[in-house]
Amino acid sequence: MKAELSKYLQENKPALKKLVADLSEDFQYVSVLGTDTKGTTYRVKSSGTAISDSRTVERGFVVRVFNGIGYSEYSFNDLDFVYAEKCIRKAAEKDAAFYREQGIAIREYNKIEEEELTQSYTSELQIHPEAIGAQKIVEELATLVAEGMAYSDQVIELQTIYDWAQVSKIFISTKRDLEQSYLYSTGYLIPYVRGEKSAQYSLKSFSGLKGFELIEEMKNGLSKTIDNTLLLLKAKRIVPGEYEIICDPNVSGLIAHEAFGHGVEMDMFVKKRALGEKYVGQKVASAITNMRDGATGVEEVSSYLFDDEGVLGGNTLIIENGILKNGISDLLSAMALGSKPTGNGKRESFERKAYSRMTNTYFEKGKDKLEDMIASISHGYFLEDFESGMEDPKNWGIQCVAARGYEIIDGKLTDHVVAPVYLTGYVPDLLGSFSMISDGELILSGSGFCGKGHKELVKTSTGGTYIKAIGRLS
Amino acid sequence: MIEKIKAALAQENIATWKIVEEKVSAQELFLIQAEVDMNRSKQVTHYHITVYADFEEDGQKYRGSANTTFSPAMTGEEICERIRTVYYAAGFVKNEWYPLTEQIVEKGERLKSALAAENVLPIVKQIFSAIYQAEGVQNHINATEIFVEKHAYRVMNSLGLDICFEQYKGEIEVVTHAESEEIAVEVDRMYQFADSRPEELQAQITAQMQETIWRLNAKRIESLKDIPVILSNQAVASFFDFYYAQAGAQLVYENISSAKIGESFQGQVQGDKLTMTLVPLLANSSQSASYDMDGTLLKDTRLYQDGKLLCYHGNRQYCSYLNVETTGLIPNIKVEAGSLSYAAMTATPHIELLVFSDFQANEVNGVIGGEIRLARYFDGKNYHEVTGMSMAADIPTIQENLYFSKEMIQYDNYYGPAHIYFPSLTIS
Repeated sequence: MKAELSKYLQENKPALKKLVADLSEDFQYVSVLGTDTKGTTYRVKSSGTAISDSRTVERGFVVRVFNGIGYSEYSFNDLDFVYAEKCIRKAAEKDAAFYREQGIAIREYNKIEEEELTQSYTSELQIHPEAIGAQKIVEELATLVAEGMAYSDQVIELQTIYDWAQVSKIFISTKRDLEQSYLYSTGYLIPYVRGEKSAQYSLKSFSGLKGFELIEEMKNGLSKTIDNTLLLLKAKRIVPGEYEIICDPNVSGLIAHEAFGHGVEMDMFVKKRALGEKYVGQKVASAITNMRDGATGVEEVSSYLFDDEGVLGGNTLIIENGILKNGISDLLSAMALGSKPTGNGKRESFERKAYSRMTNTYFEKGKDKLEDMIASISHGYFLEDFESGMEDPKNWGIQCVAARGYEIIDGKLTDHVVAPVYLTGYVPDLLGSFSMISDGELILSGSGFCGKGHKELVKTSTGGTYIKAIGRLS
Repeated sequence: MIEKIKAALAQENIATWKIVEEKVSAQELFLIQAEVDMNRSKQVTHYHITVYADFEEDGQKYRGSANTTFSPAMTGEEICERIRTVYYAAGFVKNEWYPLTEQIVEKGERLKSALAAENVLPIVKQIFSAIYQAEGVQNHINATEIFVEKHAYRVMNSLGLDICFEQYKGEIEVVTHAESEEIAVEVDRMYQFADSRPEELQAQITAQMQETIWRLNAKRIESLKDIPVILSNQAVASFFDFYYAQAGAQLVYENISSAKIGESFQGQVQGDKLTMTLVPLLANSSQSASYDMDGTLLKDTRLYQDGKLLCYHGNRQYCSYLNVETTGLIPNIKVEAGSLSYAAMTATPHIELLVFSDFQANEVNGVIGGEIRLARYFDGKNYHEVTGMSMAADIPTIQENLYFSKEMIQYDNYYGPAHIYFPSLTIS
């Protein structure tokens, strides 16, 4: 089954082409991105159910023009293209002139040069959530809730979430006519448990460029998710210190994301906010480390044909054998730096500006066996799942919060749990300590949203395989 | 558009519904150093629709609901089809019945704001000047983003409710940097507000620049055991999110919070007792409004008094489930000042935590913490700027012995003590 392109966008394409043509008479570069994302979030728990639009649902347009010095944009969501033309003219002419008159300098850019390109893409899926219907989806989630609540007396609530979004986009400029439609699903199991002294909860996520077939993965993950949450009731705080650690693919992915995902977003190079700019071509990780980001490398929630600036998606090799090779870039940052855009110009929605953003970011697999990795540790921790992370591209500080850690003693995994676990440190030290990377399947998670600083949430996925490293835990 | 939606609701025989119209206009300015990288403007309208399906099973009344958002470009046919789908989905939502907000005669008050101006470009310029004329920032700002937004809401429902209100949202992100021959550092901070107060903003940017300089000189230390800790800056506001969440009707109804009205939530308090009030119209808060999105008229609500929980807060649905008065969703919190002055807090050896990479406060279990990017350690004689450690603690464990500052501060929807003093924590 294919995720078909929005009829709304198809029907309005001629009007958008006319808008581009009309504006092109006065502006050297004009483009319009049209978006129409539909989707639904189903939340079922024992105390109630909620059905709402998926978080990324949107329908609207953003027009960008070259104002002779730099770029101006106008976002709108009605079909009054005459008024939209008036507004983008105001932004590019009068508003830009106002700032200049007030003594605020405008940064100079060249005109965007594009090659002629017409392409279309639709993703494949097995079960379209619209086809299966709300009743079936709610029933399936309610069954999971009932099973989870019956699993243990200590489970006081189980929240299950299934969310799907079908993204349709078109990009029109004088030389480009691109269209794409893809559907992704995310699922969450969130058990709440109560012990004698406290309540705890955890979140297990599932995701993919797929439809309601994701429910099978959620079913298979239920008992382990509750077991992990119950363990939190007897979890202790870790004795702070430096330990040998094994990161599961979720934690490995978080490290990739925070360390050399945000660290090589090239708009940060333009702003002189990233140390990575000075280290291209230099060693930043152990020699067994290879890392990529790209919309085309794997099939996950951020796999697409073109980004929000009409640049085709890629699969950028960021670290090769421990050497920093490339950054990821939006179109304008690439122009400023004299490099090639990598198809990483993404917007939170048509209402927001495009920035250099990650897509699917991961460490490539290695050659080691997980059991050998565990056996090689005399005293350390196995870190599983994550709660949050924070980047510091300027200083290469890193903070990753793992949901829990299992103590490893004399090469054996124990059920001594610590939670939560803060992994902090200096990025090259952490990546330089990678001593073993497991083989096997590459596992990515695309359940969350990634922010830029404190805002601009976009869908990304992260992952890898198991990695052995040395980390400062608290 | 509203008439088109109402017609579709009637056509689909949907008797119970809510429509929230949201009109947003914005001016946005993005700067690299002091140069405009891009200017943007925006005019969008969203229609947030909730449809309710009432039904009975075994004599028990249920009210299912589902919601969706329309853009003004949707056709009558699309609206009908979507409403039909959403109503169908609502029929599978088996929630206890609860009432909607009825017509309100009393009118909510409004806060005045310079951001209400028809042309906000001069406001953007004023903000730009406040930032770039702050003390010490010349050539030390890497990037700035300025957003000035106006949100006009109209909330209607099938019981005849029809109210309007506006919110003004100013938001800026400023990245200050400093460098020596060895290293370069930055501090990246967001500010949100609802009015133009250039002098306040300038003072905040000046303080941010001072912290950036301190960070440049900060040294890594291993750990400090059992030391008095002062929490400062925006992490203070995040600290109180736990108390706000635990008093929420939804968390109580879901048995996730065990907070009980009339009981001390703070335990056997030896330090300062918490007094917290929800204030719908907090001056300069971008979240101030007289109504919530259910159309509930909001009033000042005392949540905690001297550590004791006085009431639950929440929307009509969950307050009705708990059979308590509906407060509505009030996002602004005011916390009363404590007993210690900042001078008293800092008179003896301590560490003051100023910048975190991402301060986390878990609303369910009260775990707080994060990686410290800048702190100031006072050994009794001298101050030392330090970095690279982390802080972790559980509010339920430490709340009986903490102190709030006499000095007050505002961070958008938070107005309360500027500092929190913990007599003994370990920073590692």
